[in-house]
Amino acid sequence: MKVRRTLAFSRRVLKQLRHDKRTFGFILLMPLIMIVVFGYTFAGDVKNVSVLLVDQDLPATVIVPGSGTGNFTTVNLTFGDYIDQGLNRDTLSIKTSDDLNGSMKTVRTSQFFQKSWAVIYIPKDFSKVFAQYLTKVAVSKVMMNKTQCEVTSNFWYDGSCHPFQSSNSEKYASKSECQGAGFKWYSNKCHEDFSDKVKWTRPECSAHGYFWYDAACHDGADLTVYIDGANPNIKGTVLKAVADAQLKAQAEVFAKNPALRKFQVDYPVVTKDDYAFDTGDIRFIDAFAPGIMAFAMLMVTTMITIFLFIEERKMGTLERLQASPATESEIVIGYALAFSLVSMAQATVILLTALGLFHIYIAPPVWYHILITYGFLIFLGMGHQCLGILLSSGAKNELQAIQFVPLIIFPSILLCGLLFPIESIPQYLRPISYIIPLTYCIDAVRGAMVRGLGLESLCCNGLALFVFLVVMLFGAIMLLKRRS
Amino acid sequence: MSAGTSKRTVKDEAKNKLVIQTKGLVKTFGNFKAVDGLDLEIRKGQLYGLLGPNGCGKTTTIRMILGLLTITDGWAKVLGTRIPNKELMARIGYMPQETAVYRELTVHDNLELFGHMYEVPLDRMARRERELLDLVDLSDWRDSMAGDLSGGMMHRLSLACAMMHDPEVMFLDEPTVGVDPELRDNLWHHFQDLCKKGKTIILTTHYIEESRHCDLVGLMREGRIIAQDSPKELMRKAGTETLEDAFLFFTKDTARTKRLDKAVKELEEGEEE
Repeated sequence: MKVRRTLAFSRRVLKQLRHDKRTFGFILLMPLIMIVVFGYTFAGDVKNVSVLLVDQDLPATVIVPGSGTGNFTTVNLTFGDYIDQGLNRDTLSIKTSDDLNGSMKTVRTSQFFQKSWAVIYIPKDFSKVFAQYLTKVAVSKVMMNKTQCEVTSNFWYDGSCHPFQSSNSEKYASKSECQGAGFKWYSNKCHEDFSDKVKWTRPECSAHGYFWYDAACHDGADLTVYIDGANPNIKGTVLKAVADAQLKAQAEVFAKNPALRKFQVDYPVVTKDDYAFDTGDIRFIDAFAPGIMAFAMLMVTTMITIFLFIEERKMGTLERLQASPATESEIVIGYALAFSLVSMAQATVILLTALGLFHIYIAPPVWYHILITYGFLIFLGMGHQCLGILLSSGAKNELQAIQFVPLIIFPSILLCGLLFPIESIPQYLRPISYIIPLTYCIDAVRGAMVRGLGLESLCCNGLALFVFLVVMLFGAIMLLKRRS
Repeated sequence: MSAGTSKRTVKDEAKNKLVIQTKGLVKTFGNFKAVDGLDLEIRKGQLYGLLGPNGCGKTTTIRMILGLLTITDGWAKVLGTRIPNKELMARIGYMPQETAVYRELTVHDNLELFGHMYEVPLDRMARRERELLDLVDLSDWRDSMAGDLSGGMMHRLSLACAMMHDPEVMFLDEPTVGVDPELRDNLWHHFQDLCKKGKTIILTTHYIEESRHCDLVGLMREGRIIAQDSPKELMRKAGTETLEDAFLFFTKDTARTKRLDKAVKELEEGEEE
């Protein structure tokens, strides 16, 4: 393969695009329009999201005071089981595990068929805290005097016994006030200094709104969802499923335990959507921008290659190339180099627009992840350019070429996970999603830009795109070699 | 019919100088036989004209010899090498019948692309470009978009592209279409000059009179060469004043033994009734 010839072909494509101002505009404007128009759109019912359930909950006892002092009823329950049963098996595809750290690692590294989006963690003391809470509620609802109230770790004010006092720290709205009072300021809120908690006595612990058990102060035992927030659509679905499960679980608890019924409350279980990645608050646009970069690449490369090759055929220039010493691989690679440059320019425009208009998030180190993104885009682009060459032989003119849009482009955009997560695509259509190379590319560029994944975690996507590229490259070269 | 005009009998010498050679070349498209057992022998320095009406198989023949079409039967050699052969293409220039230039590129860009494609030494590119622009009279249009040129001008550009690398053998499919008479004459002289310098040119044309500039003319009809000789000799054999009449003479000659014969017969039968 001669470098000089290859570069000459690249230059010719670039020059041609430069002269064709309309097409040049299309290349740069199309993705811009798409990112603006589709920027805030998404739809689809998400289904079968793989999540891991780590349920370490142990049974606990709720003590329900009777009307007289010293008159108690006890109810045993394992709240975690109720939550487990309350999770929607249609929305979530649940695998159970005992290993929290292992599960979190799975969320961080898994891709595609093994992809797990979240860990739903039910801690060991989950029921215990719930039981304590119910006990307190029960206590507060039974007439008590001040002494009885304080002895049972509750708070006496406004002439009655109250089970909780809101967190002291929350009254501080500014960082300086918060820190001045000895609390910690983060996530734009004042928080208790957790490190101090272990030193607290029982009344101090209660005063801060924490739970005293096992002879120590505990910051509750909340149900925690560690979620991969790279796909806001999925994140929303998982969190909603968990919240629904909690409501359902509570209703079940009161339905099955008549003794508790009169104390029925909504237990304020906090769902901590801790991210599996340091991604902050991922918005739709953050995940959409890298996706649209890949899609624009596909669209432009495929369509323009088809048109260019139809023209080459029609004008007879292709025949001229075939009758020259230029080899088929030089022609194909020459085109590929040109399109790589075009797509880089395109990706940069999208990136800058997304950063400028929408301030999208890019995982640090930013340059490394942009570099990975560009690498994947080039892979995809070269593959699709070869596909374009192959398709061009199936179209006699531009009018016929346009017909590839509904055949190739639409399925790609609908099934690749760009607008609708693959989890929202009906099961029987998903195999198609998995043979669309764009799916792998979008997953990879999102992985890099949003989730901050390195090359080592994206090797499967890279392999999928590489196979696609090799097959297409081979096909395109064979096609150009073919003679009637 | 064979290229039997050469008086040279020393086999080796002939072999050395054979630039284009085909033997029993056949091309069929489905049931249609486009080229039917074509034998060609074109020697170094010859300006060979392939003449014939549209659809007689001229272009198909050229495209087979260039390896652009698979050969159904027989074989073709260029410069002693069997076709198809990619490396050989560097020594061949080809101008297709369609105006095959990149319309969205300038005249200069087109020539430059072909220069790179055929690896014209970089220090010779600019000079070669000037020479060719001069030859095809496009010097003033160097920076114009090829697509903005007139049909004839584009055609001339296409010719220049084929000659950019100064090839040993040139296949020119209708090189003079759309070229005005004065320039056409220039081109023919240039072709003759090139052949005197040892280049070999095979071209097709349907301007029959024009082929008087050729050293050797092959008259094609229905995939076969029905006559082949120098223009003068052809006219002498046919006993005509012009090549066009000679062509008609040879066409009729073969037609009589062919389908037309049958058609005439049918007509006659029709009249009798």
